[in-house]
Amino acid sequence: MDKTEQIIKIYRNNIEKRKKACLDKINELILDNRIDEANLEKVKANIYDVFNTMINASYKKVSSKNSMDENSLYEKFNTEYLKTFERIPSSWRERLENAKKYNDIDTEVVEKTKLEVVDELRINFLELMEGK
Amino acid sequence: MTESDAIKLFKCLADKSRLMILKNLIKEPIYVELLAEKLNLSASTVSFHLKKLEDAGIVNSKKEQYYTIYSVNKEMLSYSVLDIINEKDFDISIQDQREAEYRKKVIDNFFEYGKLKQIPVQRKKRLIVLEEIAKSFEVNKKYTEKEVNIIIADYNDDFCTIRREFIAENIMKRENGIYERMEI
Repeated sequence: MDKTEQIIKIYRNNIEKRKKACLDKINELILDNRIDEANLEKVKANIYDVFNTMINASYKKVSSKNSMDENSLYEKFNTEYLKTFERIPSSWRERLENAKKYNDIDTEVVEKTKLEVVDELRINFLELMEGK
Repeated sequence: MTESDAIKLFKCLADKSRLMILKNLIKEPIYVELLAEKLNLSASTVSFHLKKLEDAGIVNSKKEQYYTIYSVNKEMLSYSVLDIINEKDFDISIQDQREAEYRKKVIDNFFEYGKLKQIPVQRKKRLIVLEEIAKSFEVNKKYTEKEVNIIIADYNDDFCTIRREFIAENIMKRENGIYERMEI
């Protein structure tokens, strides 16, 4: 297994653990009659799924190009995947700003929750890349 | 209180976190950050619940220097369940209620933060949207075309289409370049 595949395996494992914790919390919250908070956890779980799917997409995109050595593939994959942390949440950031401007608390909380997960995953990915 | 207000009220109360918030607010008016600390919830989650409680009329808020202080609406909480169920407005016909709910849904879908996202293609929806914008015009007041355009532009850049639709749908009338809103 090369370096890129190793990173992907560990990172994907981390995402799955976080998602599992999220799903457990959803059940707890539902049992505790806190449905709105359970729905916010569902939002988080969806974001974990989105970024999990994007790993494959990023890997396919870089690995399908001309054959390259292990280090180049590693660098290209990291660069490609990091772009998703900017591209995907850009509309969420915009919605958050608008929600704050118009005091739309419902949207604000949902967009904030999504962006918190994005930050958490980005930090985790960067740590793995740096070998922490 | 209408039937849908009552349902909103009961739905709002059927949440443990919101009941915990109310328990604290009954003791004393309080601000978001302190409530969050007491309940071990994030400030944004507490704000979210407070907004729901405020929309249902159970909680009031007022600005005090840097903080927004929340307190319970004692009048609302003093109603008995029986008072709410026996409310006269429950007698509003189901048809009227469905119509009102449909209008609200169309308005929520087509407007975002007071801006019209797009002009609906379906006539029934377009009429609802036009009537909503027309509320910005006073009945029996005369407006020049420029004034009409400026008011509509607050909602959508395509003020020409909306202005023409106002005339076509008899929401406004035009005489010698002067516009007037009709009674809806």
